[in-house]
Amino acid sequence: MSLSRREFLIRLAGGAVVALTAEELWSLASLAQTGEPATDPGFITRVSRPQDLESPAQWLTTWITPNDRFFVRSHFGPPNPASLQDWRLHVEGDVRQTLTFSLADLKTFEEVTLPAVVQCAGNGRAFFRPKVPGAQWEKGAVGNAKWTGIRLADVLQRAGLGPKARHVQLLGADRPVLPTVPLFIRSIPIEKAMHPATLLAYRMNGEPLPLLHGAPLRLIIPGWAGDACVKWLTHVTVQEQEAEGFYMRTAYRMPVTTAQPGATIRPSDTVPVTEMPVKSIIARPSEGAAISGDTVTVEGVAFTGEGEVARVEISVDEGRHWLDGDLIGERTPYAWRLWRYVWRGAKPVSYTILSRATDSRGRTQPMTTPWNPSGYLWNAVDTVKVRISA
Amino acid sequence: MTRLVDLWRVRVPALVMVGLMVFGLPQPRSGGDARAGGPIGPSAVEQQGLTLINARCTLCHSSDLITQQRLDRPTWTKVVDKMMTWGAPVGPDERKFLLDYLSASYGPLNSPEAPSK
Repeated sequence: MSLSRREFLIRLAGGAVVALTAEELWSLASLAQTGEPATDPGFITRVSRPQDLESPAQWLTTWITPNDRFFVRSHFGPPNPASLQDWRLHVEGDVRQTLTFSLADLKTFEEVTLPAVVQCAGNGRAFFRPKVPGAQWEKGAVGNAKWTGIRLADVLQRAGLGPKARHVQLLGADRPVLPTVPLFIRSIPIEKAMHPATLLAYRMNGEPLPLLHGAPLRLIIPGWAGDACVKWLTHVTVQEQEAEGFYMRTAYRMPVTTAQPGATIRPSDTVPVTEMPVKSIIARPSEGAAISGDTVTVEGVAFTGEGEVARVEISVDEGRHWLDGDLIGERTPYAWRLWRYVWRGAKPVSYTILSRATDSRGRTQPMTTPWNPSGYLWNAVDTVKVRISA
Repeated sequence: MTRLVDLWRVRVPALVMVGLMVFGLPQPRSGGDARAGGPIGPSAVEQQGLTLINARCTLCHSSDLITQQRLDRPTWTKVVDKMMTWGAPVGPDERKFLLDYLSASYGPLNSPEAPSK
């Protein structure tokens, strides 16, 4: 192909039409032949490129989210699969010995399988007022999968932590179109890196980790928001300080005190997004559903960061009275709980159904989530409006 | 490194191209001068705004990331300036036009019905 990338972008910026060459078509075809199942066509596309896909809330009725229905989010899209043929994980920084691992090397460590919720930090961003910039996720940038991999702690222990090991910086193989765009770099405190539930995952629900979900290796930090679960992981760097760069020092931060809606918050008054707050989501009935009869089954999922879901309550009178739903199915740390409430005696009028979860540490979903400038960690009481007919 | 260069050369242009063909080009939000009985189409300002978005923003991301926003002018200013810092090829005059256009077409007053919250 004679057209350089730079020339292509310049011509594209000028509105020129560039035909695909045979080489490009082959590349696209090979991308389509990565052996991955197609994503479900029922996804809500929040951003077409790089792809951000949201699960409709009515999918949130299974304990395990199938891979092809698991929400998709990244900053730059996946790297080309061909670039991953020589993939290695580099462990460096303040360690006694710098190490490089192939995937086969990593699989010699003890294998762990752990079900855990992964939720985008921005899930629910669309509900903040005033509106904040970013993908306008509503309810479905969340899923629960069985992650199989090895403990990050085991790998770090093999390398040996140095005397200044306070944070672990994470970088994946994904790259922005323009080299002037900051790389997606996050770091986590060493305590979280050494936590036995923090995994380097290479399988998802028993299948090889799909490319869209971070193959060949991604971090999973159960209980924390998805921004820490770096995909296509290539570099783990142990260091004294938190990572530099936009995605650690500016983005994915929360105000330390309640912010005035619309206010500008200084970075020094913020801390990194970490643990997810307790949250329930109503999967069924759907928003705006027309229901006949006087019995309505309300169901959905509930999860929290550390601890476990202790209770999910339903209200059909704007929060004046709350009724306990049933927690059903599997009960495992870091996974979500399914819940159900069978509401009898509905009258033929319109209702707003509310759900709220409480966790084992006594934290309850608030009626609204305090505003923050990037719209993170929405966990207000969930609602759906329905119309009942006799 | 050779492989990386190859990837840039092969994959990015192809995907950007296909992305633009399939998703990238924003459509006008509303019809044109229907009162005149003419064909429905975007106003001149709207057409200019869409053209500028196509030319300056969709190198890195599809236009739906922009058109789903409902932001006031100060917030649009932060967003556009951040993008310029990151390399979006927007000149000073284009910046002003973009801010006028985005604030008018994708501002809070044009917000659709709030979702179920």
